[in-house]
Amino acid sequence: MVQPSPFLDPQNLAKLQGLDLVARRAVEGYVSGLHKSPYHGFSVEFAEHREYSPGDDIRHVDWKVWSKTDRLYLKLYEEETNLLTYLMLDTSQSMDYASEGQVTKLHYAKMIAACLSYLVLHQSDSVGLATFDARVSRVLRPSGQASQLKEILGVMERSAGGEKTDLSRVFHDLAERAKRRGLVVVLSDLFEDPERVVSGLKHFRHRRHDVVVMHILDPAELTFPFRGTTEFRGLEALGNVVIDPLTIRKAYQEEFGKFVEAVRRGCRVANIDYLQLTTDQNLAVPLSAYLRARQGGRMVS
Amino acid sequence: MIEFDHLATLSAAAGPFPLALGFGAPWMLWGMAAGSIPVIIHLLNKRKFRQTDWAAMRFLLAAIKKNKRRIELEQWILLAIRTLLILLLVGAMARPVLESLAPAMFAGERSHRVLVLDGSMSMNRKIADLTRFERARTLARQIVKEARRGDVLSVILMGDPPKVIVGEPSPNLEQVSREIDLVSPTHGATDLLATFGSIRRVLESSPLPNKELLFLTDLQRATWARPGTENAAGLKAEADKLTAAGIRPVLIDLGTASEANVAVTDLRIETPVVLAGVPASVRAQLRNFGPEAKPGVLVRMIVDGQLGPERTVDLPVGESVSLDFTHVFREPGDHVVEIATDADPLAPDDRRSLVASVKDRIRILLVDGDLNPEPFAAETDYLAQALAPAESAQPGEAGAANDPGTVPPIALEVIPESRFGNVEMATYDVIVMANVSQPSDPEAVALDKYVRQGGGLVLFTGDRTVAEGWNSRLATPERMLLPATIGQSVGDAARKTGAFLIEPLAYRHPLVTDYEGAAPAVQSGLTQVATWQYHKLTRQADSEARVALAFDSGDPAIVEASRGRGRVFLVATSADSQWSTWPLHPSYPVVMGEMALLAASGRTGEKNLTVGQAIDQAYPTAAGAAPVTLRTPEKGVRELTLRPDADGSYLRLDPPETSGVFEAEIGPPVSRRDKFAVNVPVVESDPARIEPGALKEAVPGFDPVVIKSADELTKAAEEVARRGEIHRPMLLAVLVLILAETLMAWWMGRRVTRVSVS
Repeated sequence: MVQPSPFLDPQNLAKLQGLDLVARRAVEGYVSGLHKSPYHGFSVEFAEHREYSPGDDIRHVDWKVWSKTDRLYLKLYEEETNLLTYLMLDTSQSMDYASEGQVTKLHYAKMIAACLSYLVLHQSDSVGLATFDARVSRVLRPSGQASQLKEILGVMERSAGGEKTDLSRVFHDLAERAKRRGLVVVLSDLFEDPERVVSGLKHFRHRRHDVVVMHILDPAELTFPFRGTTEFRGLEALGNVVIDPLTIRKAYQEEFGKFVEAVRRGCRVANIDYLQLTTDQNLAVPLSAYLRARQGGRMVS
Repeated sequence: MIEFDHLATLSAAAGPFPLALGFGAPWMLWGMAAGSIPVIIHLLNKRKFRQTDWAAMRFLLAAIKKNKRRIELEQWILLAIRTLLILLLVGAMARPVLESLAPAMFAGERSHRVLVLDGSMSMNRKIADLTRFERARTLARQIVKEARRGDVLSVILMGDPPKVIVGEPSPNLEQVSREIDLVSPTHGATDLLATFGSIRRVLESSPLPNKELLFLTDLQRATWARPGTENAAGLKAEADKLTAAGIRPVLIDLGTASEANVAVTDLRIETPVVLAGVPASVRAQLRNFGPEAKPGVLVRMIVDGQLGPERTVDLPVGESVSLDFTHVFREPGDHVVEIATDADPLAPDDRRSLVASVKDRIRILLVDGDLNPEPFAAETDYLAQALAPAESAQPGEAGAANDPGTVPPIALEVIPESRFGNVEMATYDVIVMANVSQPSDPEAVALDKYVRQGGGLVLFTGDRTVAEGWNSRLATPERMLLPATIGQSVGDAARKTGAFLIEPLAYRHPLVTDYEGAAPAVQSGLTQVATWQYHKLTRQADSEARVALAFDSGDPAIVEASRGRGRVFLVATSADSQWSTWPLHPSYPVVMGEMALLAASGRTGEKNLTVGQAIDQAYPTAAGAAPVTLRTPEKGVRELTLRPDADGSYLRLDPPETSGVFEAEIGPPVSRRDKFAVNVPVVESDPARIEPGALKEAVPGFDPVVIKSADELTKAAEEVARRGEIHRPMLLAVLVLILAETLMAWWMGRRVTRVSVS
């Protein structure tokens, strides 16, 4: 039973019902069916230890370690999951922007993250969550347990708009942390130098992750619909500007278009799925379209 | 865009600027302040704005950085367009007018319209049963009829002097029309300067800002470009004032080119003084002003209404022909002589009148400064003998007349210098002052007035003459009666050595023309006159005085000048034989008689006037305020009275406007019947026209719109208004600017405001 959450809209879930988040490439898992596995046959291999946290199944406590260290560690086995999905949620200050009548980009991203978590867990895969702004702020290791969704929702509820973004550094950091190959879903506005962003994303690819960039934008950032002299107060300490927006609209759109195009092109070159989402969209629509595309094995960019 | 201050400067100096601006609604210029609205909005926008958080700031900053210059440039262009748009709109509402193309009429505006009708003689020319003036009157009525509601009108008649018919701007169009009906053309010329002065005063009397000035004229050269006019500076000043007032006159040209005209241009009696029973020589002059020769022109002389001799004369193009008639007037008194030709389209100059004052005798007063009862011992004895040889007059008594057939009968009266103050000068034709020491101040004033009204004065110097006394009273710039100043005496009559002989100066002066070509023996009667002593006479530098005779020393002997209607002779030596042998020579009575006649001739001239000259006739004091019945040439009768003055009674009339003969019956207590002939000025007979293009040269600064008919008036007014008024193109410019602003705003992403980055 899914708990009520501001990020998990039953209508959206209903629309995504029947869709699966499939791995486009071979993932390290044993459950046959949805995802290809690099291993043959079933095998139950120890993967790593994880510190015990309340609620964990005590059956997986490594008592040998406990006896030596007097600490509770769980034994994690590769056979616990077939697809590992890493949700990378940007909680920087720029994500806290919402134009009139829209939800913030962060909220929208959280909604997507919630939906994807639900989907992944529903298809018996594992999902983890990392939130970051200038640095990684919270990490939930992937888990396929039913309680993982609650964990994820709880983390997301507690995370708010943070500081300035440093995507490149964060991506490198997270790439180092996600040691097992899986599906990395980046939920961010990517407001940084596109080259640095793509460089960070490429690190995931270097670690053989299947990467999906969900580029969350506010529609105002694309259309720049303002009229009348306006003072734009920059988030992330970028200063203020007083201007008649109509005089700069075209030039702004050109600049913004170049940025989006650079990110899109970088993703394409790095074999990364790119999905642009605006906060005025019903997320079920583009998400379901994307999922269907993935199911068809098509590259999205 | 021209700034407001600049406009004011241009308007103030409208004269020298060919494209200076005037305004139909100058108060609208205050709206120019609205031109600051875009700037104010721009400044307010800098202070008042919405605020919003913005995430994609790095892209906005990048766009601004790359486009800052363009944005600022576009902002200034748009700001300039909007400011210009408002200024043009307000400027158009102020109805600007280019002064050089200033409209004669502001369509739709109330205005003060001044109609100026040419009333000069040439406007009497008849074309197809209508005179030019009647056409002008019809047009004027039409213009009045078509006046807009609220217009006020004034009417001025060009003339010499001009006449203001309707001076106070009148909104009563019917009344103005009636006044126009009553206006008649004069037979005179035009005083253009005075006319412009009248126009200016009438225009100034109206508070309406829009003023229109319409001339209805035949553009005769004599009216608009009288040669030798000394009024050029005054005319330019008046024309400049019109220009400065934003008025561009409209001139309706009623004239036509190459017009025929034959005129009697002169009529005079050659005899200085016409005496009853003595044949008088009448000379008439005719001129053909037309483009074609006029053969067989019939010329008639009419005396006192009786047809006299007729002549036929051929008149070549542009030439004058003189005709001589002789007539004997049997009765003393005023007789009217007329010379008339066949009628032509311009009637007033087809005849000319002359009043011949026929005298039974010439009344001469001899004022003796050295009276002596011994025969030929008094100063005037020789003179009296020379003028009235039959009978020497006794002091205080009138002399007798002589045979009227040979020597003019002259009535002499001799008085001593001491009695001169009590004399009524107007009763004499000539006053001779011989060796009179000096006049008193009242005598000097009375003498000056007497001469200027037509009296003759002959002044002989002598040993009693106080030169400074005469010079200081009658040879000053304020009262220049004497033809020369009297200087120190030259020679010594007591020793009778070194005589000066008479130099006849080629006998040019009428005084001695009879000697020209005479036998040497006769001439020697003049040239051998020995003068021992004389006063040195000096003419003024620019004097019109003529030297009639001189001494062989080069100094003048007799100097003559016209003063007013009278004539003055100044003789450098004595009237008796004290300083000269002249009284003993046969030439003495001849020259003295001629001098008396010439001096008396002013008395006849005062009755022959030109239109525009005032009648100012002097009568003896005894006439008092005698009643006068005046008959005008139009058969009208006016009852007047003489105006008594300190030195006589006067008949004074305003300058007549028409030519013809005026007849005045005066009395009692006196009984006189005087006639006055008033003739047209000769210049008005010349039909030569001035081309419209030459008007600006003839009257500097006067640049009217010249049209040929009233029908053109409306068209011209509209056309000129269109040419002069620039609010239409300004409104068009406003439309263009609105379009430009829209296009530019569209092109640059619409409005521009200042960009500031903090």
